[in-house]
Amino acid sequence: MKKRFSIFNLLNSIFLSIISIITLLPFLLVLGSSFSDESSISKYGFSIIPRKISLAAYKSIFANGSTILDAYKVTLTITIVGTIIAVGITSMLAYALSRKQLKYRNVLNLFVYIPMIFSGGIVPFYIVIHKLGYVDSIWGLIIPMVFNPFNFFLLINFFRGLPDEIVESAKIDGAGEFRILISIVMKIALPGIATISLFYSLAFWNDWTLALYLINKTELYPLQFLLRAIMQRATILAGSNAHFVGDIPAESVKMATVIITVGPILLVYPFIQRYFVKGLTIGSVKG
Amino acid sequence: MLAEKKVKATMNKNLIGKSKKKKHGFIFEIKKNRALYLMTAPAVLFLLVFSYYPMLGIQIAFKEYNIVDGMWKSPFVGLLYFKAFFKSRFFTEVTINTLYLNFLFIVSMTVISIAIALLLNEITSSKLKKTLQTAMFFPYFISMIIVSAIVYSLLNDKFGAINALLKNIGLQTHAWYNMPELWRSILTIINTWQGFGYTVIIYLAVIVSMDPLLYEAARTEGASRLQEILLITLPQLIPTIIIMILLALGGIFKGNFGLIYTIVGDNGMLLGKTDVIDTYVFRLMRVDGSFSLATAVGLYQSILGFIVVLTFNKLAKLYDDTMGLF
Repeated sequence: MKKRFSIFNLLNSIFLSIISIITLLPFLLVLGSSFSDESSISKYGFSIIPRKISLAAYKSIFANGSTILDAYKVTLTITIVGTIIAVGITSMLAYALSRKQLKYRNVLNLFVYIPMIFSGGIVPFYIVIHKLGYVDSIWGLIIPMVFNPFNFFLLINFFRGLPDEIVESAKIDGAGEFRILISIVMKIALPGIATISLFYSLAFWNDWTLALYLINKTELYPLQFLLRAIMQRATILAGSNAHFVGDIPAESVKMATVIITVGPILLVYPFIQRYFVKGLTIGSVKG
Repeated sequence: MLAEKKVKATMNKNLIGKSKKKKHGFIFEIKKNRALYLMTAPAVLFLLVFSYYPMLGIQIAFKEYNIVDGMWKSPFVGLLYFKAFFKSRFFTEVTINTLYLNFLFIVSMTVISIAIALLLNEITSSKLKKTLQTAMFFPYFISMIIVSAIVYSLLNDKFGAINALLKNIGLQTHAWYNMPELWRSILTIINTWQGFGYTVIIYLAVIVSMDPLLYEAARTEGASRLQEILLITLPQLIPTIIIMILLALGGIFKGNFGLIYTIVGDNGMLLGKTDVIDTYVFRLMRVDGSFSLATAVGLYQSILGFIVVLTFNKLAKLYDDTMGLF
């Protein structure tokens, strides 16, 4: 059966491989350009294979003050702290609402669902986060993102799949709800927890809109927002070191900053992407 | 009705033994499950502060908002800002741009994702299939800032790779960022490039879960691969396609703010073709500081989006009762 249309199979594989390569080509372009020396970029433009390999861009990023390291610290902090809080909040809600003994669980479900289809828009949201005193505060980059209804509905699908008997027998043994959640339910539904942890971390790592609304101080810029500032003005890296300004290889620095920003994702992507696929698959087949 | 009464009667009988608990009030329920309700508290608080309270903020659209009086005490001006918006040239410009761009986004994303999912499903080596899928999914993981940097590396008129390529083969280079007529297509390509890996996974998951017996039956009848795809796979995919389109239509008045804001930014040359409601609202708020007008335009967007979802949900249900989101 599988041997039918072997020519079709061959052409199909080639065609899809070309599509995949085209999809990844822009990343290779950025990578190549980041290792290129500035003069060949200004002469010939960005290219996948650098005409003359140079580490000047990376050297100048790490030599010129601590701007990029600060941004890394900010992004790492919001990603780690944010993900821990978010996973905690989301799994508590999902566990509570997956328990059939909870009388108001349908009302609460609706309460979570409504914001997914109707919102007050960005202006009231903007006013709220300003009123909460989040301007130039690292909490402003964390708290407004610590819950996402989409991740809740994803996780509750995992929790609903668990047999009731497990929880009941733990209760008979005298375990409280919090202990049941942490030491039993979260362990059994670990793939679900892993999936939403990854969704949350990616959201925190990639976010720049909150910084756009709230952050003025350069030392509180998250990576993504710093990259945006560099794309507009490469000299921001120089900070107060005014004499560096002229020496910055502007175009290759932009590309190197892209690589530094996307690097960690690129490194973990092959290991984590199957959790995303699994999470999406469960969501789409069930929902 | 009669059966219902009977059930109720038997239920009442069963409850007689514990008649004290017969009427479970609100407070009783909260007390009984207080640990569980405590667990819902952080999320409920979050939604109250960041979703429901901002919904009350819609009143700003009907008021002359100023920071001193805040959203509750600012003077009421009725429909002033809605009238101002409907009279301005931006009303037609941003509405048409939003609808047109989203139409291009949805059509291109749907057609390409389905085609690729069908082709991927035909690949027999599961290793190759996984590798291809992994490659196609990657752009979904990067932020819009990275996307805009990549677009810059391709289209910048001095250093961009596309102009470098054109120069190499002896063709005319272009100042891409000054050519508004191209930008709807460019944004559509970028949007599809970034998102198709995601939708392919969803379509592929549904295709893989289809009943293999149907295909075996078709094969014994001598159906070709193409016939299998057109007559078995595609028809079974229709409910998923409709749901995916419904979900996309829910956002048809939103404009993928990140994509347009980071790539086009304040490039006045391109705004005529690419300015959508989201970017317009953001500009009103941050550049002009007119919070009331921005809220009015945002409310116009929310209401139209809501109507579109309800309408298409209804249409989907007319077509087939089991379809639709709710």
